[in-house]
Amino acid sequence: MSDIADWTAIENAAQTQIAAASGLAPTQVIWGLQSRDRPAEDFVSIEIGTVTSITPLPEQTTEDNPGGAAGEEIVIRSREHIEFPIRVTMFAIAPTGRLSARAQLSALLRRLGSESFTDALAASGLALVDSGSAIPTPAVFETEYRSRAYADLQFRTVDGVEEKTTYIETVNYTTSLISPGTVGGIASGVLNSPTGSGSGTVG
Amino acid sequence: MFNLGGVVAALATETVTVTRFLADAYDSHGRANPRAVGSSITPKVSVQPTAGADMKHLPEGISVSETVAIWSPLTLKIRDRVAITSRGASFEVFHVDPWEGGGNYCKALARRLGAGEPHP
Repeated sequence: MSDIADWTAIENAAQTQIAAASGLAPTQVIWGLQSRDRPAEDFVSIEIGTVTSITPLPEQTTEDNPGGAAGEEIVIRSREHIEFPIRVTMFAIAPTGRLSARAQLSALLRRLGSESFTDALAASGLALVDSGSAIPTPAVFETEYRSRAYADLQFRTVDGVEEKTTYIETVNYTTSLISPGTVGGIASGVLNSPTGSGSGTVG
Repeated sequence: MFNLGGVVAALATETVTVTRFLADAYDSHGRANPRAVGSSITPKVSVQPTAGADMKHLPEGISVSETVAIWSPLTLKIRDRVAITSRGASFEVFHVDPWEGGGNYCKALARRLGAGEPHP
């Protein structure tokens, strides 16, 4: 059994497009909660939030698996649409102007909503359904105000599980004839409880 | 200020191995690269229990970890990893009182690394 969604690939696809939309180097758009030194500002921290299913019941399918290895001729899938937020937090030094965190994040959101970015995300199996708003959250870092802003992007994708199985090719059975004897002077046998064995092919 | 480097050295209890790492860096997908060792030193230090006043330095969440105070004639830095033989474990420095300017010693607080740590 394997998972349909590859979260490493999902993270990579989202981070790649967010980095491209930010205009920063990809190494300046980092996943949060890694317990490491922060990059020098300006940088972006991103985190995936709660993943929720938006499908009432998972879709169950059973399909042929052409080209599959022996023993994997059938694929059984259980799929559902899921939605999850990615919180994008921009850290910048400039408190005002186009290089402030709010302005940079607003620009990032506008770019990310453009067709070239949404197409690139879709090609990776991600749908951007809400790009949110840039919310300024300036904070004091040591003794100085630092420019910060965040936005919650909503993405959808498909998750589920799949397993490969095979057709029933052979069956085993068990039976026997015992107690030979005579009925009316003719040699005969009596069908009794199963004790023998054999096999056959399912046509 | 008194130079207490000699006093700290005289009261040293054991030699420890201090591993210091280079600055963290990230790959093109925003994930931290494995830490690279920058240097390793083996100072003779004094390992003591932490005092009650030291506890105010403990960030929330590690107050239940085993912590030690390390008095060292060589300066330790936050994130240094200290292998302490007498404790049979490695510790990570999370707070430093540097007195190298005049006192020629430093007092560092370190927490015992738990199962699954240190992170690569």
